[in-house]
Amino acid sequence: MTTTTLAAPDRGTWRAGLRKYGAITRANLQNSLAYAWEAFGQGIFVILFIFVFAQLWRATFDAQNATIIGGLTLTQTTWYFVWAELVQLSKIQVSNTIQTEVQDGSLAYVLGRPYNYLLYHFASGSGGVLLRALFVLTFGSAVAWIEAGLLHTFRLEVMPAVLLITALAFVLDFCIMAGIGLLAFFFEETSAFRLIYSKINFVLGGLLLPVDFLPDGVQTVARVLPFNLVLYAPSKLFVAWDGQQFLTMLGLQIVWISVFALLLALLYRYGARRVAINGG
Amino acid sequence: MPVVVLDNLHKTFRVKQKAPGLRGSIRSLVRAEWNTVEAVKGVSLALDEGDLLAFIGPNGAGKSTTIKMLTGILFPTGGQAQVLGYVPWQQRRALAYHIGSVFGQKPQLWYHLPPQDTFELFAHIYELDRTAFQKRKDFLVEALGIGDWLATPVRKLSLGQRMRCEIAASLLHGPRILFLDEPTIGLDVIAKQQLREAIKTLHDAENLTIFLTSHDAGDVESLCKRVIVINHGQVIFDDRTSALKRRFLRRKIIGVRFGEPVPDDFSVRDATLLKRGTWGVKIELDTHVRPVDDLIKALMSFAPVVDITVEDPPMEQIIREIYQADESVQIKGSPEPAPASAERQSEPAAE
Repeated sequence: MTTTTLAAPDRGTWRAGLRKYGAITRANLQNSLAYAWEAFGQGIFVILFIFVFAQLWRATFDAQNATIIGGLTLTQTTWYFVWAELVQLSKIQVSNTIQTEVQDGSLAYVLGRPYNYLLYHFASGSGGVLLRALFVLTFGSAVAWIEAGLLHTFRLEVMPAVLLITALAFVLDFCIMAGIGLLAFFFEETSAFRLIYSKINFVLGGLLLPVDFLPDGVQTVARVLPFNLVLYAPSKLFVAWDGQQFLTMLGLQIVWISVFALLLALLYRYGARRVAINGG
Repeated sequence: MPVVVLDNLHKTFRVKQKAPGLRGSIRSLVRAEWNTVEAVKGVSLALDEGDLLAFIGPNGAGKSTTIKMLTGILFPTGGQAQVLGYVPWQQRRALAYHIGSVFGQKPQLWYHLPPQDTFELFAHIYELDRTAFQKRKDFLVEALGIGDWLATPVRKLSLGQRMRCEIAASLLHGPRILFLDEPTIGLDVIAKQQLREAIKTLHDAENLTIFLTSHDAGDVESLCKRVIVINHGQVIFDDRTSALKRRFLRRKIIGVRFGEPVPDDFSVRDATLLKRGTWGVKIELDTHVRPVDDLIKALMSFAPVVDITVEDPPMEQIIREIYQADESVQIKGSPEPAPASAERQSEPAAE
């Protein structure tokens, strides 16, 4: 029995492709369930994180005797961090995965299958995202509710748009992280690049504080760079919906995703020629 | 018509060098030094449909690198190769539908999932027809005897059980060529034998072309009609397995453990006593000088035998003997005269 006689009638079509990548996502989700306690642990960590942030910002608002800073109330600020942590803790850890594949030699299998290597990682990584996001959102929301009350600006009707921006934030982050991961084809060790990216995200991306709170000069720089589109954009729209800002952020995300996807494709094309797999 | 053709294939790696100690680490930060390692040096060979080739050599000989070039994972530094008419590193995705691979030291089955879940995943990845996939899976489950473990998470399987499932996974899409890279590594004697029998059964049933790398000469003896020995990236022997056995696998290492202390007057004729302990001995035997069964009979006459093992000499010793066989012959693909070669022996095969 050969591969030709075994082939599905629609082999090579987009439907077969969808089934393929869907199956990869499903398999990773099944595999992730074995790590459900790890995801649960991240959820516990969020309780502490949101609690500390809520206390700090309460003290800041009190010290300034302000009800609004940078256009956000204390409640909005607290819920902003819930959404920012949801993205930060749930995103696809692809750079680590690629580096491990190069170092332990499992790249030999992953590269040798009939799929797009980068789409494989996106589909595979997406499987664990839902589980982690569920835990982070549950625990984070609970703490934010207790500490700052319900989000008074929450609008159910705009949530599809917020989720779209959040999904594109995951894609943009994937493109950047996969690019860092592909550097393992050249350098093997990529933790330094990962560290730089995480620190930029922390300061300019809106993880430490919303970009609106940054000094004017730094804010201008942060808004020009793509990093605020990963954490700040979805979190800001979640707590303070603005239709015009949504369209701007959407446009910028599409542009930056296109740029990074192109760079990623070039990096992969060049890297695949150079890769040296360990272990024989 | 050959299904695999390699023509003067080369692969060179750059390996960073670092002097020992902190000073060496700092110096390598400022001025890195690189060594060029020629992992594969001008390998040429051809395989016909249905061939079962053993590609053997010691660790670091270039076996895995060659397989990775043939499966399109690595780009060669020079030379040409075609697998089923595809240039592997240029047409990797198209080729992937027609070849399977198993790397003995690396799992392809998902660790926390039972094998049947990975099989389902592969059915989607290779875009297989559902009915045909079910039939194919049933056939492989039967042929490899893995029915009892299909629902057990891979992390709970023994290495031998896992390897059989790995082979099933690599054959689900009906490849014409199977690349097996050290499939028996780490297995005990019984698991090795079971796996070899399964590979042989599948080869015979489907006229599967198998390219098997190993540093275990036992894999070659049990499975392959043709053997290529590679060392330092060069082919040093390419002939029928019977020729290798006759010339270089004639020695066996026999270990015996007695039920009582080794008698003081213990001695063996036509064999070399390698080691003598209180309860056992290790002997090297040239099977052309004396048959194994004859020696075992003699050993059993000394004292009750509790345990006995018969092993091939290590691959390094076989290679040393190949080099020593004919010092005047140049190694295939090597520009300078090589220490020795027994390439393409001319005597007819016994098989």
